[in-house]
Amino acid sequence: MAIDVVGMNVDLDAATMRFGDFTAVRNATLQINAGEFFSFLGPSGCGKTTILRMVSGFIDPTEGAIRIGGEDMRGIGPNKRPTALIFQNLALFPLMKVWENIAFGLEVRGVDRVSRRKRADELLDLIALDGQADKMVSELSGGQRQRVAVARALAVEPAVLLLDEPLSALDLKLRQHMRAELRSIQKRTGVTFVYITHDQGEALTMSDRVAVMSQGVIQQVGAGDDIYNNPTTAFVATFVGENNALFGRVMETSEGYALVDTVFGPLRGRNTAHLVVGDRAVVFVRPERCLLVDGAEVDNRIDSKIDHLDFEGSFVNLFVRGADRRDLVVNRPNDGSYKTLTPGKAVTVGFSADDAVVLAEGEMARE
Amino acid sequence: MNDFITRMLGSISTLGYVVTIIAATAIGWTVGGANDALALGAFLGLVLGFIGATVLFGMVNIFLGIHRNTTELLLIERHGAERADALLRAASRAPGLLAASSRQILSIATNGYITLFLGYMFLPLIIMMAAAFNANRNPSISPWKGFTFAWFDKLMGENELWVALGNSAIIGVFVVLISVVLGLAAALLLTRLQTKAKTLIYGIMVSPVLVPGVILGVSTLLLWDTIGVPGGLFLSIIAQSTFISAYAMLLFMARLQRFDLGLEEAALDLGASHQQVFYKITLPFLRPTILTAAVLAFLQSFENYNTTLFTIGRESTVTIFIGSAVKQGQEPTINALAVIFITITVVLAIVYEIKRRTERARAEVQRELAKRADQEITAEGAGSATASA
Amino acid sequence: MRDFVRRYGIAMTSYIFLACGVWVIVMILVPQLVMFTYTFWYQDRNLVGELYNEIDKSYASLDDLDAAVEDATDRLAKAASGDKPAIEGARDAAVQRRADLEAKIKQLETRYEAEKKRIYWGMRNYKYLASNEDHRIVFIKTIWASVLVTVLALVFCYPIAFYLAKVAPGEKAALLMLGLIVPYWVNELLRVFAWQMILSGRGVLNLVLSLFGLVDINSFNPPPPNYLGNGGVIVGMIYAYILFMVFPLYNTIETLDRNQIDAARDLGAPWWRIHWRIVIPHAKPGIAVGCIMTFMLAAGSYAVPMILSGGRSQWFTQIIYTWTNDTQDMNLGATYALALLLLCIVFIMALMRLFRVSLEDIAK
Repeated sequence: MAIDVVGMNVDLDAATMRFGDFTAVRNATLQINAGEFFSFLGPSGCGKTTILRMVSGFIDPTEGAIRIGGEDMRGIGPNKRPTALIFQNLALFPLMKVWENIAFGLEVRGVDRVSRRKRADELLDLIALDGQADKMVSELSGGQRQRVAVARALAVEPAVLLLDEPLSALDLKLRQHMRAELRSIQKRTGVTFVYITHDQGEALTMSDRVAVMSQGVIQQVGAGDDIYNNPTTAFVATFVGENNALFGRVMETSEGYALVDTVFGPLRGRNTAHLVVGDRAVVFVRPERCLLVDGAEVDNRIDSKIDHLDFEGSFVNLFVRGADRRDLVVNRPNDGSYKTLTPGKAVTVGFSADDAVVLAEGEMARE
Repeated sequence: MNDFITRMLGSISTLGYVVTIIAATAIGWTVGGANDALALGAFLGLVLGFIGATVLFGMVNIFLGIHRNTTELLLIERHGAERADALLRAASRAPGLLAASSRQILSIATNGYITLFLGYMFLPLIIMMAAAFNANRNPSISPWKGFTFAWFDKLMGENELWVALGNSAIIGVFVVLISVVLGLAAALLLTRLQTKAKTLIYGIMVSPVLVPGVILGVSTLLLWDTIGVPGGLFLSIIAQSTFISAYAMLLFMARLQRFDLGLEEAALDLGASHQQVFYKITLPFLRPTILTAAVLAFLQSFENYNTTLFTIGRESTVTIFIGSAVKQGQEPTINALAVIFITITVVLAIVYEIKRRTERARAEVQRELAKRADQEITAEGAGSATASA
Repeated sequence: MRDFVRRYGIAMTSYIFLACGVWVIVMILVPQLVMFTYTFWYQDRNLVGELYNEIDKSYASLDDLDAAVEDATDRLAKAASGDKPAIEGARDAAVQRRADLEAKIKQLETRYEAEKKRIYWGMRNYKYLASNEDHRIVFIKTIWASVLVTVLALVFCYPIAFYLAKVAPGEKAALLMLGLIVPYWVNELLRVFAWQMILSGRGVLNLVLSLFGLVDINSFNPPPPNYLGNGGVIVGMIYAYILFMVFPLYNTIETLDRNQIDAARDLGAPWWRIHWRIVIPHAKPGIAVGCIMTFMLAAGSYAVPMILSGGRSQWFTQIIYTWTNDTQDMNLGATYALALLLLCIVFIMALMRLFRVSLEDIAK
């Protein structure tokens, strides 16, 4: 049974958060559309939790503004904003039953007991936990508690639902299951979801758009595949997925491509960052876009030999070492051909210029 | 089921103790001076009942395993009682600090030391209680001039005592009100403030506990003397609250440490006003502690002497009454009072201590079992969870 | 501060700050401050007393004069006209003297009232404290007795605490703990009174001794010895406060990882070395707290000396009581109380320095 809620948009307008000397969020500007599933992705300490707390109202930005549905939220406390927050540790009320937890938002708004109970039952139905209404929270499993937290937040019909790494405490199978659940709930209710996580898999599979953050700065905002295929900063290129980074200097540029002189020789890639000759640059190419070629025509060729192999089950990673002691990783599916590949064997690695991106040298995600 | 039996037996023990005393008293009262032998028997019954109930309590606990700590309980869960016992015994036989033979000697010496220590603790009390029944005008157990309840009669007739009792009660009630309110405020402040001054404030608030009661009494007396308020009930309430609030604060702080502040945030986020957050989330969590703090405050106020002595002026409380009676050297009416006091205190103490241990053990075990159940359910829940609707 | 209000609302925040403020300032700090200032002023009680006596005497004289005037008036009425002038003169003189006296009395009374309220600032209290030989002896006695009680309590309690924490199996520990705690729930006064019964002339101790023929408990002249006095007080204090040493010790020893002891033993250390080098250093905070508590209790103890000194010796707290209740000299009382407070503070700081412990105490 669906619930008619309409999400609102969220506007971050040059929002900055400083704690004493430390700047947690620097000049964050972006717009989250109404009804969108939007994720903030980044390593711990990148500022995503701070953004969430700013949007939910527990702190006001030092500079800049937060707008929800077009209205400036400065000075408005968390209990007065059209937002609901799902905490990382869920913060379910241990002294109340499941249905009382869910109906709490209604209770504080003065809704009578019968209506509250009815509403709680509806929501329990939505999250497939009907029959558990009178249990205490401690009697539920992790996944069930997760869903109760979602139901509790939805009960107050928020326009924006904020989720603070809700799945990090769950194990793998449950996490995958919950991802699908959350996504489906979001689609059905139309509430704007603002989701923060450090797990790229989550961000990419669940979201309409993702914002990648590092050290308080929003690096890039875009749809999952866009971010993956067309990173705009070295951090995004290395944080999302695995990426080969080949350092060098731009030798020439033409028609949207740049030729970079690297330790493996000159390599050509898309010049999305509009670098000019002489700039220090990094050529990024995804391991899965690298091929082992023989005579075939490719834009970029690297003749080298295999340093070592990692057999990972459904795929194999081949490591080719460059003169600067850095590895170029080639990711091949386990089609049996790896049996012929041994350390020391000479191979030619090739990839097309369209599969490579040339970006300015900069902060990269730590291994 | 185990739980129920525990509580039943626990209550029976307490009940048994109380019944023994009442029975002994009733018998002694009616038979009284007429038949010394029977009365003496009743008195012996009282002493034996006292010891017996304590032992019974202990045995009940041992039998039902309440005394066991979490590890032991988990072992029992996992391996069953017999095997767990064997394991535990093996563990306790594991090499300690000395070789086997010297350990035996040490064991005897230790047991002897402990027995002596316990005897040292209890003997004076028993002697004092015994003197209450001695028809000797001096508080003493020798020479024994016959068994009597006369002193109890005399005690009941002391008007001063009843007035003092009333005063103690009044002071106690007000001290409870003030201490709980102040202690709670202080605990809330200290658990949520994040400044460097925290340690200093904490130190100041805890200082009344350390400082001798005499000084608290004198300083309070002097402060109000400047305004012209004389010693009496009011001053005693203030002085006692000064340090009893600290105890209340410590109790609340201990409880608040385990409080997830996220709960308050969650409630706020769901739209609750600050008042609602306090009344619906924080206070229910604290309710058991408020009760404990109130009881503790009352007991401490009731039995306080040093501080009250200086601030009570010409009034009297139960402890002041006892103090002056002892100072003047009186008949054993005080001993009779002691018997009543000690009886009540001992029963309360035993009940409280056992309750505390049971609660703590039970809570810990529940937490452990819940954690494990969670892991199990999660494993199977992930498999069977439906992605319906 | 603003965050605090944001989290808890105005009402809660004001309640919290108001309550804490009242408690800390009005009930804890200001009284100490007042006590401190009290030590610096005094009243001239002697002068007040003298004035009072003067006034009393003057009223008596007034009565006499009244009688004289009456008498004169009487005689005037009955006298012959020839004597009248003389008697009148005498009467007038008496009336005059009476008026003078009345005026003088009024003066005295004003002065008395003023003097009763007058405050002199000065170090007289401290000088008194310093110069009083007897009180100084008592003060020193308080110190060494408290130290003695602390040390003895530590020595007696350490084995018990260690046994409870590390050696005793579950059921025994629980019972023993119960056995230790239960007596402590009984009022201190009563517990000390019990000792008076034991230590007095016809008390239990002498009863036992008389069974061995060492003492004749029934003799009247000389009466059997009693053990009250300094020794009795110390014994009573140990009994009264010993548990405050056991618990801090128990708490800290309990947190010691049993494996450390086993490891030491495995490496061949004898038991005394294990205690000296492993258990005791770990238990230092507990020892410090226990010692502090015991010392404070002993130094500030009133009931024990009151009951067990048998009138033979005087203790510092008793002197304070005399000042504030009997003599009503609040200033001297404040001064003596301050001395006691300073003693306690010095002791705490010395102990903290000695054991290198900071303010992370009170884990009750």
